[in-house]
Amino acid sequence: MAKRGYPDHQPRIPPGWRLATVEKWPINTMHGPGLRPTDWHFKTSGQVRKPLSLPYEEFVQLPHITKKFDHHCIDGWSYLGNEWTGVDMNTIIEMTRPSEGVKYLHVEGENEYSATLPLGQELMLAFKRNGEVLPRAGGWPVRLVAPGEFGYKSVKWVQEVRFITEWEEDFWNKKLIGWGEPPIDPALNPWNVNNEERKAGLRKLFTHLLEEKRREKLERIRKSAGEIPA
Amino acid sequence: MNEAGGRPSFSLCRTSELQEGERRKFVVNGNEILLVKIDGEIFAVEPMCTHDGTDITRGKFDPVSGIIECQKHFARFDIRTGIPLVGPFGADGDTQPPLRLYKIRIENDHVHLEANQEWGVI
Repeated sequence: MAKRGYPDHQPRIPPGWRLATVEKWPINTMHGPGLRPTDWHFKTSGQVRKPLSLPYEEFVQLPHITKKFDHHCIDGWSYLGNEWTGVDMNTIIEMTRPSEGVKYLHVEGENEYSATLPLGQELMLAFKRNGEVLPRAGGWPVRLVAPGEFGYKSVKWVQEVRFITEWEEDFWNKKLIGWGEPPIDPALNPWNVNNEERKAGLRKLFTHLLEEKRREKLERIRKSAGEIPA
Repeated sequence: MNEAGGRPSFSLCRTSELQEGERRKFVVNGNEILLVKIDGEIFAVEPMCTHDGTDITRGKFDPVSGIIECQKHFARFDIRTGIPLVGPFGADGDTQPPLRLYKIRIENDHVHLEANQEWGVI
């Protein structure tokens, strides 16, 4: 069974996946972005000896690397060979010095989006793609790149990395993505997922999310019509 | 609201008002309904992409094949059946639920939207 969190699996595309059929970089933004932040700081918090708070200008001056990674969305498409420039998470770990017992990172973005990942996995906090500063929709100022994971773990619009000793449910765990139990379910590895279970799970999830959207829309319409007090 | 055969319904428009290939959106009790005329037949769907809820009223539409494409992540649906043909960015279509179809009937040159459909919100 392939291990999760490694970018060099063979075959290169998970079984059942298709190459994205678009020329432009496919940006899947279900939850944002919000307004462009004017006073963004990259922060670390939780069980660390030295919490960080760095403005954008200082963050991009940290030692950084450029590396190619493939992207695999749980929707079933892959986009290969994105060249990312950013700060290796190990650099942040050296600077912020997590306490003994820290096992996970809780990466927090805008709109309460988040991903929990095990410490020790290859992760990059990217601020450029293919040599260009990220567009806002693509994650500006900084987005996580988590190779070997599904794309939903690569949090856009990162604000904070919290170092924790116990697993915390992240955005999609809370939305009941439906496959197995945290902390580390090997079935969540893109290469190990049962494709039919994945599709059935997505249909169930989307049905639930659409119901939420319909309820919100109906409430907005009724509020604007004065049927429900605002 | 009209009563026909004991079934309440709403008249949305005259059938002759809709041109071939035309899309027209209506809002009834907070429900969005997109009427489309393809090869003389009228279809009624909820214009909401089942990937992330994007309004696909203005998505790319081929009135001959009846295929509509979401402008955000490019999922494609057969607007006559609601069946997803292609998922976002070219993924398999069967990761998504179908578009919601509304029951309509044509009577006296009017398109009637049937009330009390199974989801009970109209």
